[in-house]
Amino acid sequence: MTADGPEHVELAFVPYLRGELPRDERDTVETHLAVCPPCRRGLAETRALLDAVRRAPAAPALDVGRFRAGLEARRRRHRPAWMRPVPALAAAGLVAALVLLALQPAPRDADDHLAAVQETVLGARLGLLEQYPVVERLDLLEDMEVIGALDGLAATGS
Amino acid sequence: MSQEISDEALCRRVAEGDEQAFDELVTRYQGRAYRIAWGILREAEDARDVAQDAFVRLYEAAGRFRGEARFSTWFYRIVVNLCLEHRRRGRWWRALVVRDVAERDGARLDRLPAPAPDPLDGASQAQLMTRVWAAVEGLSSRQRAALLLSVQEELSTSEIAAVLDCAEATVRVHLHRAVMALRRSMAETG
Ligand SMILES: [Zn+2]
Repeated sequence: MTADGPEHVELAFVPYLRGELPRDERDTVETHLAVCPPCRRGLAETRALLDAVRRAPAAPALDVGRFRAGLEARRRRHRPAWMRPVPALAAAGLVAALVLLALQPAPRDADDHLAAVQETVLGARLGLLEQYPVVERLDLLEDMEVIGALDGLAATGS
Repeated sequence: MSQEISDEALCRRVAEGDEQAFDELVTRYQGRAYRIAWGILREAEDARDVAQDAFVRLYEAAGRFRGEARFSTWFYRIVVNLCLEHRRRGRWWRALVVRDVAERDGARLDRLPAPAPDPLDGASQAQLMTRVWAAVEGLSSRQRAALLLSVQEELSTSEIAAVLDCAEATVRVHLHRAVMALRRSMAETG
């Protein structure tokens, strides 16, 4: 999967530093680190970088009053879902998405696809499709396909 | 409203139209929603807009929360999805703006005196952080989301997988690639 070859342990750096590895995997990493200076240096770099990201400057302060006022204004613009019809174009886009999904070979992440469709349905009901063109909703579905494929790669690669 | 009521119970009340429960969830999560959105979008105005949008969606979708995941995971997923969508929409002109800012920062850094020999002094530290952040800006949205959820929000790999709606192995790949990209970027600019 990566250029570092099967014997290096770079893929495990983050989970190792986070203490998330099961005992046997941790032992494997530590055994390797003991004999591999490049991985030791890589781990040190990774630790320093994660620490830098952790200490990154905080977001500019949130003006809570302004936030709440904006939220209320937004909610007034979004009438309840059952009071607005699903736009015809959105419905067409949804049908297209469902057809595309139906044509997929049975995926291991069927639930993920279902979630994607639910998101689209939700988006339509919320009137989000009035703000974002249908094409971009389909783009979202497409992106989930890519990620789904990545899942497959990751599963076979590890 | 009592602090003892769980997020999950509040969400179920929101599904029944309880405005007070919604208000309490906003109070509990507005800071986190904004911070996560800012981490991904790096624009205060955009982060605020997306966080507000996330709460609108929360209100409308509360009935779909089945309590299988923690409320926080479910809600972060809404926030992150909106951020990714936002970036996709804003892609082309945003890239120009980011490049412009990077050029300006680069020019400013060039005018600074040479770094002092002590690597821990404030100016060098600040310069290093600027470089780290420039590198973080260069990550893909998903890589950055995974990295920030892991490092800043301290979510576990499985929680991040639930938020990003992908397998844990994919999260590991995102994190690995993010770190590799940062290391490469730091080595190049160093
Ligand atoms: Zn090695």
